[in-house]
Amino acid sequence: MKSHIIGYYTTRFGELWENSLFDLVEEAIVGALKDSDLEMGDIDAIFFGNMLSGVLENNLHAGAKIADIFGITIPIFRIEGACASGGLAFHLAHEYVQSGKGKTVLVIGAEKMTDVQPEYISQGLMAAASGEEQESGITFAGLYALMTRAYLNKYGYSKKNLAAIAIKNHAHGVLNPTAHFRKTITLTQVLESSTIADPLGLLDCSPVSDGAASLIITTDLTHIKRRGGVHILSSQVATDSISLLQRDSLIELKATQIAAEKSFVESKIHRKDISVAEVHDCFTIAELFAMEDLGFWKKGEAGERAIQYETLRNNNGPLVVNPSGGLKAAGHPVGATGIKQIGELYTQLIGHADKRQIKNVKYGLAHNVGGSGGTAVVTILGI
Amino acid sequence: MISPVKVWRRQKTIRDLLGKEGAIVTWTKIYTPPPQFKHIAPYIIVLVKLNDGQNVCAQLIDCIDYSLINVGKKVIITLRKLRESLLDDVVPYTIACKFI
Repeated sequence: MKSHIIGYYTTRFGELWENSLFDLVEEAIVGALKDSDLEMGDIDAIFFGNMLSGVLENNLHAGAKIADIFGITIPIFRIEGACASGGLAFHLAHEYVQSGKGKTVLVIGAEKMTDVQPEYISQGLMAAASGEEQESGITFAGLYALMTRAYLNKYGYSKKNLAAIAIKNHAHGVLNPTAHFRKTITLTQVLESSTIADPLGLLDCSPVSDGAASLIITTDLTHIKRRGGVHILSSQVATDSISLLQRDSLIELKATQIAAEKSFVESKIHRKDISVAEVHDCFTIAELFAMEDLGFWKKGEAGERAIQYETLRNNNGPLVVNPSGGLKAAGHPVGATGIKQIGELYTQLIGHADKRQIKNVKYGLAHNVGGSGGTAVVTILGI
Repeated sequence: MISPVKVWRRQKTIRDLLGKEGAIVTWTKIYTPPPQFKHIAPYIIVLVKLNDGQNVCAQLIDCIDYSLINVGKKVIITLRKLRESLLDDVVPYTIACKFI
């Protein structure tokens, strides 16, 4: 039987210096339980998505840490797949209840990034890239910049085609109370922002953020009757080489294409039925790739369609993308993003998105990527 | 962690790449480096397709005029010490590229 999401909670995303990683984890777990009207005793297992706690804080064995905080003994799993850690944690949590090993599980994604200087975050994030890439001195912005130059050159686009994504996502972020950035930005600001890795500027890049988000998944009919919630119609994972050097193409993510195709087949939903999507805009170029690789737009079209603002809310488009503000404006606490994306869809589908509510949404798609495209998770939800 | 053993293992691969030629496929200029590369920022990284079909990613060195950097420009792989050694006294040499 289909699993349901019956509860969701997210912390604010931002520079949360008052909170440690596990302060955020605790807040999100308590929040999700409260939202679903459940207690920890109702949970059969916990799935925790996180990338950097080992690298930045020398803290692993998170399962035991969570058990410590809540005084529990249930199975707890830490899952890592770079920036797709949250999506992967969700995927495995879903598999666990689908296979009948448990009836109700909790997924939590969290990241603490702002305790250290930017160059150490740069270095930490590069753990998601190959040894050769790390050795060269390239950064994540650099890897996406290599792909950006190839894409802009091939299709004759300019930085303006990228900027439209940042502008749109900031416009969405204004309406999201938990977003890292809640202000609009202009084309001039984006084009004039300091270079991070040519041709990507500061405002082409999602920020470094702290945050945590948590969801509850169940197949328990009592809870489903009580809460309603949203069906999980599909959750699919695909991988590709960790290194850009081994990819078939620099201007598309094969992992996204494969995960998307499998997800549409599994859910029996068509692309035209999706009216809301949360896609992985770690850099502006990544949202252009996402729209093409997910199959919403044709190869090479994204630059042009982005400057038409086709996926901006209230623009009469059939599909609104990143109503939460995306990674760019809502923030990108790496392990939390995959959960936040699904949580945003859940909030939209149950009609609780308040000022950022999109009307008449029935099916939503979440797209979470790890590294420069080594992992992709595509999830489809329906009400 | 750069350990002497890791550096030693890596040297075999690096040795095979030295002197190989190829062309620039795409490139970027890094302004926000990781800590061990702070002293040389900003720097150019190129993705090169070697004549033998392999792809490599490396810093472009000995380049005075950045306007010369273009997709298709020919480069050769060379050896450079781009990172500082640690206390264990093994120098972590890396590959770098320069224009032919």
